[in-house]
Amino acid sequence: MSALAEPMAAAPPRRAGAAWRKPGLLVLPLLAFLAVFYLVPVLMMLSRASGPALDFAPVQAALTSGVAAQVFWITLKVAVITTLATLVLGYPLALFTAIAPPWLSRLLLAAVMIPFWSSILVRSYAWMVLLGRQGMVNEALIGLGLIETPMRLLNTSFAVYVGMIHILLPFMVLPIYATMKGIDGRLVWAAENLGAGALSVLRFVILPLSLPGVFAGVLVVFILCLGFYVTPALLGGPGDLMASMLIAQEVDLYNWDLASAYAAVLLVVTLLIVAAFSRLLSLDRVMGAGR
Amino acid sequence: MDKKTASQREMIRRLRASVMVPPASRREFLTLMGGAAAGLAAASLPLRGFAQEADLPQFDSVPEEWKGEGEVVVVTWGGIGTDMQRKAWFEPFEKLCGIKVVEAVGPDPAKLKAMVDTGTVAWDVCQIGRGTMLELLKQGDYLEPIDYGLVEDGVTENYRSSHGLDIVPYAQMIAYRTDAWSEAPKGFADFWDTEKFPGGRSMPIATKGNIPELVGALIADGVDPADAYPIDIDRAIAALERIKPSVIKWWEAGAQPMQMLLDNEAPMVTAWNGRVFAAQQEGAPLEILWDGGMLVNNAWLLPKGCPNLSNAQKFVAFSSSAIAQARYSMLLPYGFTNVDSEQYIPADVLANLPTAPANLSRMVPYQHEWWAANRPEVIEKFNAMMLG
Repeated sequence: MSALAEPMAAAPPRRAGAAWRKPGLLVLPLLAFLAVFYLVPVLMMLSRASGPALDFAPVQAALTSGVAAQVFWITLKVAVITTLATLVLGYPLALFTAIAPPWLSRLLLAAVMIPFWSSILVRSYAWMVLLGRQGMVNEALIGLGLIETPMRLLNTSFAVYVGMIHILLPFMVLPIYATMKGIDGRLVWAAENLGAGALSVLRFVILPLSLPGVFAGVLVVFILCLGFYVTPALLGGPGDLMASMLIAQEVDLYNWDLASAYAAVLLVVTLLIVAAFSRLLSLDRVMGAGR
Repeated sequence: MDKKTASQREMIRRLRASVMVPPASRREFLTLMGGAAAGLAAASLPLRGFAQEADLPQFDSVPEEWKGEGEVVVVTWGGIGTDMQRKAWFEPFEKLCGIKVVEAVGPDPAKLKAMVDTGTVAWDVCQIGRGTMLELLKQGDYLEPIDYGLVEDGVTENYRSSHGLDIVPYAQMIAYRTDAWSEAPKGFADFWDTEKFPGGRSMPIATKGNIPELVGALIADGVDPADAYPIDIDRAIAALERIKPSVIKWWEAGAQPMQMLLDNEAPMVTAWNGRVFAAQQEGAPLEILWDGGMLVNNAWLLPKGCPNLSNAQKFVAFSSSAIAQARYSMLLPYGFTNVDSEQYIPADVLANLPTAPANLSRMVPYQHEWWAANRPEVIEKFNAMMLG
């Protein structure tokens, strides 16, 4: 649900003094919590990344490592493809859920939410059972006569995408759905009144007004992708090494300075992407427009 | 109905076990999940072939200096290994020595180091490789010395180091499905021969405490097993490069190659001999090859500043005793490091252990010193190969 709360929090109300000061005080406990349990560890990690001699030797090593460059490239590729796929699958689902009759809409939301409540680990493992050589997918395809021998589905990049898309889909659907629910129905009437067909309503009314939800979903899914660990490790093939696995590996080797440097690089890359994203799509303006 | 409730009980037990070790790192989830997967598979079948308590040697009495009170936290690798350690060691230790064993799973050496660094040691006895012990000692003062005053003489000098007592010698070796080909593979040359023996392969990765199959690669490349050490890393990596297209997955937990074998994802893998034995007992059509396998010793390590040091020393002494080690070898075919254990073990079980002379002569013992000195280079080149 935090994904839904985010766009709300992003635009502070522009009223005079006293009104925002009190809510300001209310966030103090959260700020204190984040400072102790998030900011301090991040700073400690960054100080480790700068090396014992403060010459940023670990960061240099991280930036010049060929393996690391490759792993970061794989990570970005997986994140982009997963994000696009969840968007393509999630947008129509969110739209259909938003316009469906209440009973169907509730049912669809439950279908989205229920897998969301089980752990990532359980869902990844379920995909291992489904995609295995003797799993349900292969058995069904053989039973239908579509293939003769089982296909290799598990331990491939394909399996990683399937698992990650499944796990991340709710993070895309929920913010888009929430934004769509907030669209003023009178705008749709007005458009129809002016002669717009269903497609035009979608193109000129719903799509632009649902963009804040789309951007929120894309950002959340993309950032979550960058840190994925269990799913690629369980479902992936030999080449599916993600940044988090590289960091874990250096921790194993007691190269904690280098591990911190990789983590710092991942953090900076993520922040740069978020910054570029919000500038490119002028996120704030779009979010403001959606309200 | 019975099967279901048994597997549910098993799941609950594992969930409890996982709660006992708060999963601080995501890697631990993976370890636990691997164990749970193997456990579920095991729970669905009756454990016919395993030795029962009545067959195992019993302690008449234990020395007074092994007795105590309170608890000791013992960290092992989960799955069938821990289940059998419970029967072989934990239960009699609690009963005879009066010290409660608190089980935990996944003795990650990096976590051990972090615990000592931050003064928050929660573990007393950890089952980690002897090679890892050497690497930890290189990092600094991370381990307590073993109190050999309590340990039986049967644990001979070659199994004793100042900060670790060797335990559970195991083999990492070729395992294959007997229903995959009409002809049986004979060694690493056949492992590499994907035309004669088509199908996927799986071998360990170089990290997370795993030992990559460099020796096997050299043997496949024509090197005499006796000349495998010192390992020519580049030659071994080049050989791995050739088999890579057939490698379905480089595994990182012992349950993974078993899952790939049992689901026929990969009909030939390298795995740990005890896990293959357990699957064979459940009726899986599997066979192992001692040829070119490696014999590796685990060790009991005590983290510096562990909370129950004196109980830990007692547990190390108890579990390394002749009877305790014989009990474990009879439950799972892993070796023993107490020469007096032999007299308690039936001949057919002895013949099946990796330390049996006939098996040992076909294997290449793991050289801890070489690995402790060369691991960083191996990992770097292995990873470049893996991603290349």
